[in-house]
Amino acid sequence: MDYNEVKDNAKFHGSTALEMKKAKLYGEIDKCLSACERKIEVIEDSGLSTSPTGKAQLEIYTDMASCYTDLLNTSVKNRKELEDLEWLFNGGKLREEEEIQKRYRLRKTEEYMETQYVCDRYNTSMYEIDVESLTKPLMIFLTFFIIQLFVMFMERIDPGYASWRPCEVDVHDYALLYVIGWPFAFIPAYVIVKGLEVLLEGMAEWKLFKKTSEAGGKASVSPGVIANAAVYGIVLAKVFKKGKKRK
Amino acid sequence: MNDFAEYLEYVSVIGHEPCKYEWFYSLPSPVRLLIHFVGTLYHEPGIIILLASILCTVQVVAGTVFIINFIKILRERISG
Repeated sequence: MDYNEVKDNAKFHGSTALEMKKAKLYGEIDKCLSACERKIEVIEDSGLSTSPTGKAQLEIYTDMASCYTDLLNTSVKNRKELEDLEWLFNGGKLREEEEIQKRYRLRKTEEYMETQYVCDRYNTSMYEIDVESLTKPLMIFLTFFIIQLFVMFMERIDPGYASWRPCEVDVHDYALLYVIGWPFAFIPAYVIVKGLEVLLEGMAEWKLFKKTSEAGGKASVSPGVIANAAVYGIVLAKVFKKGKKRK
Repeated sequence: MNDFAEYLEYVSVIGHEPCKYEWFYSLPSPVRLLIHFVGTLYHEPGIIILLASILCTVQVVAGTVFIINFIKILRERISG
């Protein structure tokens, strides 16, 4: 074997080794690419691609897949280029690890968002009620109803003053009471309805707080609202207690 | 309707005496009061009675709106 033969042989073995290494590397890149594509398919099939988390994950995997495709399309002619490609791929792998970390964080965010969603849904279901559509007519109704209650009360303490049955009441007295009395009756009606509103709001806030802490999330609960509701609740309970004792 | 016209006549004439029509008592009290005001206004027009009739109408409308909205919300909550 002369020198040239030895040299050719070495060259041949070198190139085979290079080809083998190249094939192995390409195989690994291809595996990663198909894994990414599978994940993209799963996200798209599950319909999660419209959710914010799904969108973010889809972006990551699409980006990764395009990187792997770029690596696969790189033509390697010599060892230096192969090493560069390997370095890039390993960089990619490292980046993939980063992506896994990111995904983990995303999953955590997703869980948090789910918790928030549950809470928000619960919260909105409490506030979904257009409270004003109830409180406004109730306030108006109550204003005049208080006048009727007043008439009934007067009838109780002074029989003959009026009667619960409007047919028996002096209609002119009643009319005068309606016209003059409503601004005065509006004050207790306003207090009652606003108080009920505060109570409902506080109860919703408290339930939201409980639900969120059970789910392990954080809710922006305003303690003032709960405190107001608690105070109103206590006052209401005391009034009811007194009323029961009188009976 | 005849019954109602008769009632209006009755209100204007007898005024303070208990109503003789039983159906009248089955109505909610604000509605009874409104009928009473309107009946009086029909026979003895006066500014106070007119204002009271308007206010009573507002009360009846508010009460009806409240009940309708309440039922609506209740139905929404039940159906989820």
